[in-house]
Amino acid sequence: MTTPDTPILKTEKLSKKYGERWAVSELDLEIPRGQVYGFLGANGAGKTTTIRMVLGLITPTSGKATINGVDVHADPLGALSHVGAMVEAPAFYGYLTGRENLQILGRISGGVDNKRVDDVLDIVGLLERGNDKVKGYSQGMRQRLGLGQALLSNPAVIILDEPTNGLDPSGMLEVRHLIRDLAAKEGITIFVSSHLLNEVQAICGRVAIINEGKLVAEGLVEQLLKRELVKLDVKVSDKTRAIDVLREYGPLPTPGGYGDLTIQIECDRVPEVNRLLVEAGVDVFALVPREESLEKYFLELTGYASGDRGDS
Amino acid sequence: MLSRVLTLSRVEIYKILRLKYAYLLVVFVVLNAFLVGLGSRVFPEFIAAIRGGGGGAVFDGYTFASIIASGTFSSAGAGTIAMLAFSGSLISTETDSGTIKNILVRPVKRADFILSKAAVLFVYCLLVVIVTAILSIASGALLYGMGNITIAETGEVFRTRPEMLGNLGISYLMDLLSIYTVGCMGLFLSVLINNAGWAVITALVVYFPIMFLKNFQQFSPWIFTAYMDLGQNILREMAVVKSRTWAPEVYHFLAVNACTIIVFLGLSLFIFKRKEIN
Repeated sequence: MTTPDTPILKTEKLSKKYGERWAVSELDLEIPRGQVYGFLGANGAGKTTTIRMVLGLITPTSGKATINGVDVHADPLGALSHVGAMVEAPAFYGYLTGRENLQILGRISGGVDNKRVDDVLDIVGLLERGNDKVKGYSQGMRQRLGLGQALLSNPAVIILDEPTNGLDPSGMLEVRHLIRDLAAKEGITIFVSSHLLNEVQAICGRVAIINEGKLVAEGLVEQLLKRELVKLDVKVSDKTRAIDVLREYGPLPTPGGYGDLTIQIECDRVPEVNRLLVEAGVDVFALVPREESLEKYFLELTGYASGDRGDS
Repeated sequence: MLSRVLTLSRVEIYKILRLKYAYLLVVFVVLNAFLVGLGSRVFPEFIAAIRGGGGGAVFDGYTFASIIASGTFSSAGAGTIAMLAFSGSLISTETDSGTIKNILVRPVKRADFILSKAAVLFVYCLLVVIVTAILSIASGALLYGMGNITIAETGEVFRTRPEMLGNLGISYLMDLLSIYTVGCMGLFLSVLINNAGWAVITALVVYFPIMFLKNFQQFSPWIFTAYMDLGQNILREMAVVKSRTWAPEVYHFLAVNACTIIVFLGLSLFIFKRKEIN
């Protein structure tokens, strides 16, 4: 039985083997409701294979996936009635208009009338171009139409596989805004895969990181970032005194950077550093964290940073 | 299940009605019928050779219609080839372009998808047969007339017009079943091969050896291509031989075609259900 606490999407030991290679290995995911959930991994990490298994397009070697508590492979109709999806590049019938494409997909989904089609075209910003044939659409417009078809039947969860792939920077921004808006305004859970770290950081509240088919980290984006050591440029009134205080505290300050000193500490200890300096009579003019991101964490996890990956 | 198949079939018909090449194939079939008819008109000895004597002048109208149907639906006819091209692209186009994913990530059973394609294929075959039947009967009636068939020497009627028109109808129904069987073979290959172009080429390449197998006695009773022009052949024989009837060949025809359709559709369902959509 489905309860509000039932994860909208769950995989249990989900695995897929091609020949001798495990594309996905014992993947356990639980996607809570009402979030934009990122699924981050380098190209070939197993993201699309996972999504295809979750959507019943391919059969897992072992393990299972459930959508809204319904096993995808035991009851595909029941499971897929809760989901909207865009897998890789959105594909449409080029000889039909955007509206016609949505209308026929709506008919297949069931319970989608022309008003809903117009609403969706409006949401994705294609209302005015809805009567144009898709073959005349730009890549960005196709991508938005792809999001639109995923939205059609008011699904509980939308699964988007690399939704900004092939888009120029402005197109990427546009689609990211759209995803954020959808989550905020329509209250839909969105599961979005990406190999772009800044993308996940920009739009997702929670993230799972996959590498070589295995889950290597999962949690709130903020928390994952918190685990990092941040480099902090410190500008103070008395550099010598500050060095003494900080040396006693622990982190070894180095001169230079934007301020007078640079220290490397955990993110959540930054206020403590400020307090220590002030209590020691050192005026603090600035504590400026250097731009750090999920990227560094990701590279550490996946081994790209240390250069132990031959294909990096 | 039936309602899902009907919904999908309606969607498929809608798509085909908007597809230019579906019309082009019909135009190709019509053009072929016109050329066959024109050839028969220019070379009347051709008709005389086919009718094999007897039946009187009005028989030429039925023969003319029958020749057009044969030229369209025989094993190497234009309608048959067009149907191979059409059916070979039915599913492979969707797999090739990726539109199949939009459908299969919705609450649709794979079997429903295949059955809707098979239903649409039947509707398309029906359309091609109806167009050819109207064209051939109309031109046969206009150019030669389609009255009662009499014995030339005695003037005795041995096939009435309603009887002959009924027989024409039966022969067209047999043509419909024949090209649908060919279409089911194309559909099966369309499930197997993801690239639309390759699927059509493979359908044609695989079909011609199967067609030639009908020339071998050990295969001909079991192979659908051996029965492809049977309806029109019987029709023409009925017009000159009083004792000629549809049975028993029509039963062999029905059995072989039904079995072939079941095998191809069954294999299509079996494979597509397990197919990995990448």
